[in-house]
Amino acid sequence: MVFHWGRSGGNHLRVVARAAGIDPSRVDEVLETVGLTAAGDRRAGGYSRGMQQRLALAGVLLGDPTVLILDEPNIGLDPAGIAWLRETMRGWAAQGRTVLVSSHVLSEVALVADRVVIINYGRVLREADTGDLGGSESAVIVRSPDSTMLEELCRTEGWRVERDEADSLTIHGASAEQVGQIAAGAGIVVHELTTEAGTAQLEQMFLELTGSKQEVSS
Amino acid sequence: MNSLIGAEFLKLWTTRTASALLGAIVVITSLSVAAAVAGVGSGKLDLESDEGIRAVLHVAGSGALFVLMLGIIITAGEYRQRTAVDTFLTTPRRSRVLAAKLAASISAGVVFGSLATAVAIATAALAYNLKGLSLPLGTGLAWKILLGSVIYAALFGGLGASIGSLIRNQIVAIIGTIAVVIIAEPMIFVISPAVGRWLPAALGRALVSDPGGDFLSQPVAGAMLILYVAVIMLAAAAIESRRDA
Repeated sequence: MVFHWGRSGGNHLRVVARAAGIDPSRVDEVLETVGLTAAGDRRAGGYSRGMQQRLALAGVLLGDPTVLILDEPNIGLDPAGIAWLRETMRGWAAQGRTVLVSSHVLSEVALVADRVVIINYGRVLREADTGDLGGSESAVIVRSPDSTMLEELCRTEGWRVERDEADSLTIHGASAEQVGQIAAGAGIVVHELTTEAGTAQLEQMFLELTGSKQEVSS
Repeated sequence: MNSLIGAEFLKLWTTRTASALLGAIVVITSLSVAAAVAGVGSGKLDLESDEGIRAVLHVAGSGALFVLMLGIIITAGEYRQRTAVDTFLTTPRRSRVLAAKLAASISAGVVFGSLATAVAIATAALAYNLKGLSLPLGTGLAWKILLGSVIYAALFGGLGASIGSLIRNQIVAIIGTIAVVIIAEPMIFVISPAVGRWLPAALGRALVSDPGGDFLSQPVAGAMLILYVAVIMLAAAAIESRRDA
């Protein structure tokens, strides 16, 4: 959304409300919702990217829509803004609204979305609830100075092992507890033992599904 | 439709563009009228005669060029500020948006034209007083000219809106229009008044009974200007529905 640089955020919303036949009292309400009450009288030309993004969201909310379509809503937001947007979107969903977000920031998508559709070159590659995306296969990341020996032990157990760095392994098909047991049994020192977060899995899945194409087409 | 026109007005009053142009109109009009009184007064024309009144009061329309610019800004300005996409998303039927912008431009022309006319009356009255004369406002001619100057501004607002709808590049539209009105048209008028008097700037001058040439009558000039606005606006609406914002 683009704003006239010389018009205040509040007046921008008043224009939209007027054109769309929406009660102007909604303007102050949506300004408060997006946290722009104090900046509402300032010219939009002086807003940061994050404030512009908030103003755009305020405009979307004017009509109290039941379906919201947001394209890359995180752009320009600072970490606090991103957290705020995440909560706000979850809040809308909790109110029974539908929020459709298109985004390349997969970590955010994994945190906020109930359902994910992966589209590549206009084709739907995968559609699933976020929780089902990883399937039954969980991944464990383990760091150890003795990673070579640990890798052998894991392979013996039948788990799929990938070597990430000199001392770091990603193990598929095992839980963190299982990997910890194996390491302890063999007296292997472990520096890190974590279950791979869903976010990384979503990214992994995206790369696999899209064949991790690196070339850019217009 | 009323809410769309209201939205256009709100757009106007919520930036500084309109007030800046209004300020320019007030300054230009008062200076022009004062200069006209001084100029006519130093010549052999009687300031209180019909010719004198004509020579002074026709200047009340000097602000019309600024209203023309305002009309262009109201329409083409949405492309310059890149707000057109959101405007058309809010109101997908573009012809309605254009109609609202045309109505807002003409209304703004009435408001600005009335203000300019009031400033012209006040300045002329003051200037006449300083010369120990009184501005003969009682004559029908004076009111014909003053009413004409309001219509001049209103129709030039509409003309600007139609030009800005057709030529969506604001800079090109403003510079092109000013070049036509200030340079091309007067040249054509000198070469052939029979052709020149049918062109927009000459029609505007006819509306204020400009004594500087053989212009058309007020009603014919007004009707011709309306025709210009209608034709250009309809062409713009026909094209706009087919092109991308």
